[in-house]
Amino acid sequence: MLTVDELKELKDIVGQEWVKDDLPTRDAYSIYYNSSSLNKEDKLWTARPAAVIMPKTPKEISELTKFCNRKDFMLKPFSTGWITSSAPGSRKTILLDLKRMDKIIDIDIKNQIAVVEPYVRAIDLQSELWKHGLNVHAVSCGGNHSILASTAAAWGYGITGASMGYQARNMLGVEWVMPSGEILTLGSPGDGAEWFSTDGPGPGVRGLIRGFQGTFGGLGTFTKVGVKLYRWDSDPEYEVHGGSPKYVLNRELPNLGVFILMFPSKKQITDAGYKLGEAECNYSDFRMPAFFIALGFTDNNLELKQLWSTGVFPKLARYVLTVCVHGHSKKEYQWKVKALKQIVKESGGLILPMQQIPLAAFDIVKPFFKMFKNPLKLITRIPFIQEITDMMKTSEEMRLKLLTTAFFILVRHANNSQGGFRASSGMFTSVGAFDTWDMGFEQADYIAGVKRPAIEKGLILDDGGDLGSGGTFDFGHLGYIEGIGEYSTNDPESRKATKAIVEESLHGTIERSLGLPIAAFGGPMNQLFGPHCYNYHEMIMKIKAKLDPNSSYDSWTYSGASEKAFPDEKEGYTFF
Amino acid sequence: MISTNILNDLGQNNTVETSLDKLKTYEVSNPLVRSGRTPQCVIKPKDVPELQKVIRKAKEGKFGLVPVSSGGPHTKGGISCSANHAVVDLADWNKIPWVNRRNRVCFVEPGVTYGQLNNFLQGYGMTLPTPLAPRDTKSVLASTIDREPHIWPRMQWDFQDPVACTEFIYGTGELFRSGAAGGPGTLEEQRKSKGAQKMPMGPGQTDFQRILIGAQGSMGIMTWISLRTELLPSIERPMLVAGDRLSKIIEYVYEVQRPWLGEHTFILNRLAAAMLMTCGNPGSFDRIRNSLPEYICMQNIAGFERLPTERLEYQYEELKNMAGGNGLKLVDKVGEIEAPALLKAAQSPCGPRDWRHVVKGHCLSIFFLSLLNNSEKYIAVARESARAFNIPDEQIGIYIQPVIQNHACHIEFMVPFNPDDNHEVENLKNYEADVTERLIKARAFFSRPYGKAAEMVFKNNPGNTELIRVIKGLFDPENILSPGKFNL
Ligand SMILES: Cc1cc2nc3c(=O)[nH]c(=O)nc-3n(C[C@H](O)[C@H](O)[C@H](O)COP(=O)(O)OP(=O)(O)OC[C@H]3O[C@@H](n4cnc5c(N)ncnc54)[C@H](O)[C@@H]3O)c2cc1C
Ligand SMILES: Cc1cc2nc3c(=O)[nH]c(=O)nc-3n(C[C@H](O)[C@H](O)[C@H](O)COP(=O)(O)OP(=O)(O)OC[C@H]3O[C@@H](n4cnc5c(N)ncnc54)[C@H](O)[C@@H]3O)c2cc1C
Repeated sequence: MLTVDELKELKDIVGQEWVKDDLPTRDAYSIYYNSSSLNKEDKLWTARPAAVIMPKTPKEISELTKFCNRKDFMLKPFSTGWITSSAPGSRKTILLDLKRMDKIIDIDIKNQIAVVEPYVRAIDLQSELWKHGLNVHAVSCGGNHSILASTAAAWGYGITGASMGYQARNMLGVEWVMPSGEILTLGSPGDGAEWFSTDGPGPGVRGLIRGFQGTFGGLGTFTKVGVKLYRWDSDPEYEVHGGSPKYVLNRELPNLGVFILMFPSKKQITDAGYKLGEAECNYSDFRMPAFFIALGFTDNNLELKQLWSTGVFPKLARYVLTVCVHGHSKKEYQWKVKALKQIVKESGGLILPMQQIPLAAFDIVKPFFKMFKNPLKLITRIPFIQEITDMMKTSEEMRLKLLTTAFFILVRHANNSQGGFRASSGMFTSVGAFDTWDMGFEQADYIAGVKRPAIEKGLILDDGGDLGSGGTFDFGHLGYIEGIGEYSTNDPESRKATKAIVEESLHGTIERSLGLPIAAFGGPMNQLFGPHCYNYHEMIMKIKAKLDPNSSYDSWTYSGASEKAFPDEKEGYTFF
Repeated sequence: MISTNILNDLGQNNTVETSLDKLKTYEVSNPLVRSGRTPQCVIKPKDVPELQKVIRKAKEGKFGLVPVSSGGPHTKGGISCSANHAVVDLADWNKIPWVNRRNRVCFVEPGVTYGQLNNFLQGYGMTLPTPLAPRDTKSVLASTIDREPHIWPRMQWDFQDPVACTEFIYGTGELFRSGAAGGPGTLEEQRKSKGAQKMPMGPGQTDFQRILIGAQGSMGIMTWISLRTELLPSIERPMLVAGDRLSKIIEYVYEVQRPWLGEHTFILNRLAAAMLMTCGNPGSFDRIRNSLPEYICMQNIAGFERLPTERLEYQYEELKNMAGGNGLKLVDKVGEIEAPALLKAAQSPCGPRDWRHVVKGHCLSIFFLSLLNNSEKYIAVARESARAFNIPDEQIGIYIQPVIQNHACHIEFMVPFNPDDNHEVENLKNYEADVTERLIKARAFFSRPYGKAAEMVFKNNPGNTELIRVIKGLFDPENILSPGKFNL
């Protein structure tokens, strides 16, 4: 508990109204999406924070940090708090909710660089950028996430990564309130220059604060970040009709097209993915698992259930790659579309017509799909099948409807990933190591196998098993797929099964050399993986000890439970 | 002094050179750089375990180690060391142990050179972007881990590209692998699971190799790196834009780079272009220089495996229009320089010596990062300072290289000089000090500090410098690797 004097001290730093120590507020900050995964007892509630503070400036954060250096409390900063790693690890943790730091400080249009504060969400920045012919890579949790967090503090996978890369690699300078309270700017802006590099002078010290994962608030607070932007050569705005939850574009956008590519096999979808990258056709791409496609075709869960139970989707849409092609000019767009079509043809795939298919149609083809193991393989062998498919047309509205669904996913991050687990109350993820596009599919296959028994027992949602979601990065240079699943947050058995799946997958990725999964961060995870990866975890412990000797930052998501945490708060967990 | 015992011990399995003649070749051959000590010996370790042993022995014998991967002459000062030290020469480790076309990746050992690598990659339809005309013996590893810019900025997303993964040894002698190579599993096991050691970050929450990149050998010794390679163009049409007004060329480059059009690109002023084109034939230097306008910009256009001719055609049309819109012309030849010849010179090893050195025997190079639209400002700074040292504008070579997809740019000033002319050397030393100071004041960012910049730049951001010290304490606690570097 903070004493009256301590509270006063905190209020003197940020102002009376920005320090919240009332119970309702603190409770509101102790429940997170999937927070039951954070403790062995399967409790929904995390530790109740000692207080929640909403600072406005780096200077205030520096003072708060100095406070925690002197006192038996820790800070845990977050920008939007969307992801559970923002949760307090201890009852001695003071949460820093940075939502008052919400300025786009600068957009250098010519050099394609933005400088932003923590609570600038991807959607806010993108809306502003499109007016200037620019775009930003958004991670695929949706436009609601903080661009600063995805750049400086936590992961960075997203659908636009095909052309815009992994977000950690888009960091062009960062301002950091260190665990000592010192405010340090790394890279070019730290030397007085503009924001264009986080590396140098000399060694890239930013390696301390941003790896494949980030430090997740365990090593100070980032207060500004320079972000590398990319081109946007289509309209600055678009108009829609319809209403929530289904808006429909009034018309197509220039130099922009979305394509749903279907392939009969893993070999064919991976071949095509590499070739599309080499030809730089994919402004963004997403390996859309069959279940998510069915979800995209329907407006509600009843329809989804009916559609999924036709059995058509797992066979038709096992290997689907959705791609956005974006040209600088009409000519370039046409070249890219031509290249894409050639690639799909030579890989033995099929481009689905951009038509919202009436659901009744799936009932009609159901018997045919039942007869064959891989009907798509047969279909793609029919002469001129693409030409025949291209002729399938229903109405302009049906075309725009599907196009809009794809557009909102692939380009405009106007929906958050909750849309993806409409079918259940919760979603978990696993594997998801970053390296090659091919390895992505190995991970998807592996985790589908792990999930199967739980699906068969009805413990998690029957999504066909393979809910592997991901895509390519840097025009095919890199790739990843994570293994998603849907479960019931309300059912303890479902939660238990989910935990077991994720736990098994952690060990499985080690045995199978499938890379370092998304969940490999924080004390227990690093202890598990470190010994298989040149003891990288020991360096994390050393960095933490050196830079934060007084545990001013709660480090459960970084080096492990903090020195200051209570004994009951130092236990293991399985993050998903 | 390194004890005979240690030398004998290391000499059992490794080559150890102690002859003064040999040692002298590892001195920095640049009269402008404060010379370090001559190394006590040169050790050529047989393999990785032996290299680890060398590091342990250095700890025991209390001497420093300076890793070297390129062949001489060494001129930048990267290997200069003022402490008692041995050189660890890895130039003979020159294998390319693995290549994979599907994932566009290859592995190189420290001694692999650009010529060697690109000859090899050609057989796989691939290439690695080169720095501007690297000298024959320049190590690909040493160059890329120093963030040396290359001439294909569109292919560089981030400053660490094209480095993918690395294996390195800490100053403690411990071996580490970074990026996807870090595990779990051996490289072979990872490849069985279809990994290809391309992901450059981690393992985990730290970006280990970032810390070695740009560290000039002070944080670890790399034993191999994997590299992201690119497709070799199947057809090419190198073109040029040129003129006396840099501002127009800069506007053109912005327009082209924003939508990722075109391929290799760089801007040279006439002096630099003439130096580059005549490094094999200095006799034609004046003729070529006098034939050129003030600035010349390479604009390569290419097609790859997919619809190459059509790609080249639409790109040519777009680029032609963009040049025209900026009052420029896309042409095959400017003065005496043909575009294909310039591209070839830029991508090929330039010979045993740096091309900058050919005209007068040596060259002062001052380089830093900024934004492309600051170029003219910095040119003015360099010229203004030069006036105070009676260096005329036309004796300053200029190289402007957009980097990371033109979100930043490398700007380099070069002043050729005669290393035997003491007066000239003295004058240039003073010029270097003066212009570097002025450039720093004007917010130039010396991300790869050498020479005078290395003495000045670490004062700019004391917190960052302190952090480098902290890291040094973690990566090389006994201060064995390149001791004294960055005053650590
Ligand atoms: C990462 C993440 C962060 C979140 N953060 C917050 C947060 O900060 N604060 C917060 O309050 N919530 C948060 N949530 C929870 C989320 O916002 C809630 O799920 C949401 O408020 C409910 O709306 P929904 O559209 O998701 O509803 P649904 O998931 O569709 O429905 C929620 C429940 O209501 C039932 N339901 C829906 N419609 C009806 C109906 N017509 N009649 C009867 N029952 C119905 C459903 O069956 C279901 O059990 C978060 C969720 C995630 C995934
Ligand atoms: C349903 C769902 C789907 C997701 N999908 C993806 C995905 O596809 N790809 C992906 O990369 N990620 C994904 N995420 C993870 C995460 O949301 C993103 O990585 C996101 O970029 C982080 O932004 P945020 O706004 O969520 O950050 P926050 O929730 O605000 O914080 C994320 C972490 O960073 C730390 N942090 C935040 N701000 C700061 C700061 N200013 N200083 C120091 N530390 C800070 C926090 O402590 C926290 O640990 C997903 C999350 C959810 C819930």
